[in-house]
Amino acid sequence: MTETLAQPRLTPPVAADPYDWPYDGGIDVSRTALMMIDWQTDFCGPGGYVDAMGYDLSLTRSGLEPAAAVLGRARELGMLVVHTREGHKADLSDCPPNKLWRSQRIGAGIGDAGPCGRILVRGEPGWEIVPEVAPIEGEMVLDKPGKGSFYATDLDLLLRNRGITHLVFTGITTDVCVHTTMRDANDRGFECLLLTDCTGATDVGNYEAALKMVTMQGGVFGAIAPSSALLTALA
Amino acid sequence: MVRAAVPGTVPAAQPTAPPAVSRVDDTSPYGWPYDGRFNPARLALVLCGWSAGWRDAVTAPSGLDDTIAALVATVADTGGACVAVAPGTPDPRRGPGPGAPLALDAGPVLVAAGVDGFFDSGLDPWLRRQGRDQLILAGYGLEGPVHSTMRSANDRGYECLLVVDACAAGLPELAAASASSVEMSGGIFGAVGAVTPVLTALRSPQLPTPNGGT
Repeated sequence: MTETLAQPRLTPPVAADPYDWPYDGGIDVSRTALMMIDWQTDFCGPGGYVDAMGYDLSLTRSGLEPAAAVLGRARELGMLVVHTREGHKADLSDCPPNKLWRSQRIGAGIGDAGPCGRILVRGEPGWEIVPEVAPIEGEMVLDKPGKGSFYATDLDLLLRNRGITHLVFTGITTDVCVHTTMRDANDRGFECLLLTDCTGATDVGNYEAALKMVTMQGGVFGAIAPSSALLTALA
Repeated sequence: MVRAAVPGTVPAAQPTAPPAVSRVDDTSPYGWPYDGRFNPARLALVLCGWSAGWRDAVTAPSGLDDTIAALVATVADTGGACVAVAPGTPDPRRGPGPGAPLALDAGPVLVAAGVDGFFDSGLDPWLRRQGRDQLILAGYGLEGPVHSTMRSANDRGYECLLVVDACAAGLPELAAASASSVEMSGGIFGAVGAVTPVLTALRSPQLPTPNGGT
């Protein structure tokens, strides 16, 4: 750990919208985490929850390949990687009744048996992260009962203990779990970047609007950039 | 309008029992609330973005202030709770400056530490202490404070209704997606509705009144 005594080496800033990211000049890899949000079969794999609801899986899978490339670079650099998973306890005791009711009403009941096991239940095949971006030893894996990654989890503590101040987001879906987590992180003072080609939603219009919402008012929730811009900065 | 209870299913008369089925009309993607037990005694109107900074940063539809005032008055008159949250600014370099919290006569104005009205504001315990688990959300910043607050409320198990015509968007072209994002996946953050049916439901004689009459 002698290298921690050296001055942190900053990368050049990422060409991002609405400002070059991060606001404080460049990326310090040791203070930055790559957030891989909910890359689970339930959200982007055949037979999972999103598939059961009848949405086009190509929309939620479109960001998988570029996200895998960013993940590879983060691993090379030793950047902290955090994978999140939405899912519930087997007895569904951590699932709000209205969430359960809504899922049942559209034919994709949480806890019901599906082609990938019980829908959105921890430990089931559908809840696992897809192989393309599966976690490796040493990476954080965070389980959460809701859309946001901070509520009812220890994410804030884990990030603070590691000295993390900056977060780069990939994941699904853009307008739901990614946006909720990015909003929560921004409120907590983390400097956030969302990679536009590494995320997707069940509706293209909502994906585009979610990106726009980040950039309004000078970047109210942070900034957005294509993964190529990040990889250039990290080259 | 509240949907009529199915004949024969109304429980034996109790002074404070709500009707068997009671929902706000014309909400999407499902009749709100999910359990069919719309009840002002469980209801809170949560006004988000309740600060001069956010009010000035959005494009308000004409008559919005009157619309919100009517909502506040009717919720308060029928036994609902009213609360507002002024967002803080996580980073003064961007986003609207917080500005001064706006006034609200019918309830407290809490101050959050971020855009999300639940973040470090005391909103959650305020609602829980009063048994308010049905939330109507409105205010300044549809895709900002309103959405962040609704997302947090939903994760906490609150049953949420976004009243779109009682909200002002920062960018009006994002209003449709703000509603659509709520409605996807069977109502992933709750439901979307309009002011008039909410007012009608609140004034419905089928609902229990605060003093226990029906």
